[in-house]
Amino acid sequence: MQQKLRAAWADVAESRKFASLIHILGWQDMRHRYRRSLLGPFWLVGSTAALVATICLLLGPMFGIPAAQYVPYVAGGMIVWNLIVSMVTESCQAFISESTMIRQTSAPLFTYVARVAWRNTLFFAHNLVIFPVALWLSGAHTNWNALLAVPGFLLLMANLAWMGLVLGILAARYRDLPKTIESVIPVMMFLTPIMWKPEMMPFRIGARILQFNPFYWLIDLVRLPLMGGIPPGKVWLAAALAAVVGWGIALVIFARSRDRIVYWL
Amino acid sequence: MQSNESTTDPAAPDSIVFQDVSIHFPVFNASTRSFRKRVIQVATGGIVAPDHTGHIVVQALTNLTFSIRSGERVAILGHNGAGKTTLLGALSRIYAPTSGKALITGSVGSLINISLGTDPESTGRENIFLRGAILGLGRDFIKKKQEEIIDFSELGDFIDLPVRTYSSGMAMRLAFAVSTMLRPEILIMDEWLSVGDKNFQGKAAARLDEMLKDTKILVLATHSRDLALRHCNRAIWLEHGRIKKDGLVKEVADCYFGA
Repeated sequence: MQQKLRAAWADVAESRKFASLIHILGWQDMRHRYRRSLLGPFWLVGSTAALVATICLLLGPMFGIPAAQYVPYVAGGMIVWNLIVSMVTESCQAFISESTMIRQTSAPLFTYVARVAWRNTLFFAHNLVIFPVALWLSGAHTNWNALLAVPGFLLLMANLAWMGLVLGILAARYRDLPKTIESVIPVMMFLTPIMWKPEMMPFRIGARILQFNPFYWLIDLVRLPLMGGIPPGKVWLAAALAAVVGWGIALVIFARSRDRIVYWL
Repeated sequence: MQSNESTTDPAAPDSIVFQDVSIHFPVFNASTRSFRKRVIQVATGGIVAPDHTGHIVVQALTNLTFSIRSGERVAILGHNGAGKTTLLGALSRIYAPTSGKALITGSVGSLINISLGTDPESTGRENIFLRGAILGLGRDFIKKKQEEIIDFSELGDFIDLPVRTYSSGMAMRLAFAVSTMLRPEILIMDEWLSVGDKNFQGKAAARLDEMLKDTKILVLATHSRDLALRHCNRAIWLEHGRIKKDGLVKEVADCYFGA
């Protein structure tokens, strides 16, 4: 087992040598979307923007929150939520969709998860355009704290990467997993404070339970700085802890399955 | 149970040691592929939704024991379905043995599918970098080599056009030129590569010979007696996933093809 753990770690470490492959493939995924239509990934940006606008116009007045507070909150939350959703769903296909490649080359398997992460980072950068527009339209302001969104994003990605690795492995073995995940996502979206604020919870017990929703604080890690706030220390700590523990679990699963993945494809 | 280590033991450079290696492919059905079913099984201790399906496996390779040392050029002979491709996969570190031990020391390169990963929408030049990256070559190395590759593939100005505009011959020439940049210690081939027209074939053969000169071990799966005799000094004959005969290429080929 120890030897397998070392091999799993070596796989992840070796994928750095394939950085240029990850980069080329990630860009390729994006350019293919550009090629298919004039607007390319901005189609996705457009649909996110439309969703944000609808929520703000509909729910904002209903909740009675001033636009300058509500619009950036929803925009920031939605952008990050989109990243989480596409990372989670696309990671399920990380190995399955690359079966030809995996069966014919011995490149580290983590390369394929990294490709999904890089592609989604690029799409996230596109979606980010929405945020300044939301600020401008709602007359809100941000400040230099927004720079904290960068380490926040990195910590978020560190967490999404281990989740992606685990999901990629499990989905290669259990083919109904992607469908199961897809059915859980809309539920999670309502359980996570994106459209509503935690303060609005009617019961204190609800706020307690909310602490156990990791997506809540992972989103806040990026959303709060974007809005000019500073995420509390315990949020950073929780995210860092989740990354460490998560990677530990992911490496154990990866160690046990790495040799078998190619047989499952 | 299973291992596919590649140690760097200086005493045995560039060698392949297979000890009792078996490779079995699991065959899944909808039930064994189901996550929900698995969760229910675990949660209920198999009382609900028991797994009636036995564990079905296909035995591709059974108890192979052999070793290949530096300097050996091995032909893999055998009919379709004998396990040649699986063996090449195991030698390329793609399939870890289901049981047994496979020790492969040295860098392994394969010329099995030289156009793997080619993106038809990207230009020839972009594909040089893409293919190079798949082979694990550094960007700087490819940069240095790219003019030589373009030159060799005789693509001229086409190099900056998307690959989908190429004729199949042109695409093959490009793939060949990129893949033969590799200088692995162990080279795996499935049949000999022959690309392009008469003129290019001569050039390609010379380039392959040059590549072979630098490799220490060649493993070539083939159906051709000529090819085996010309390029190899040893042959392994596989039948139904087992070694039927292993020895000097002449002897094994005489048995396999008939004297």
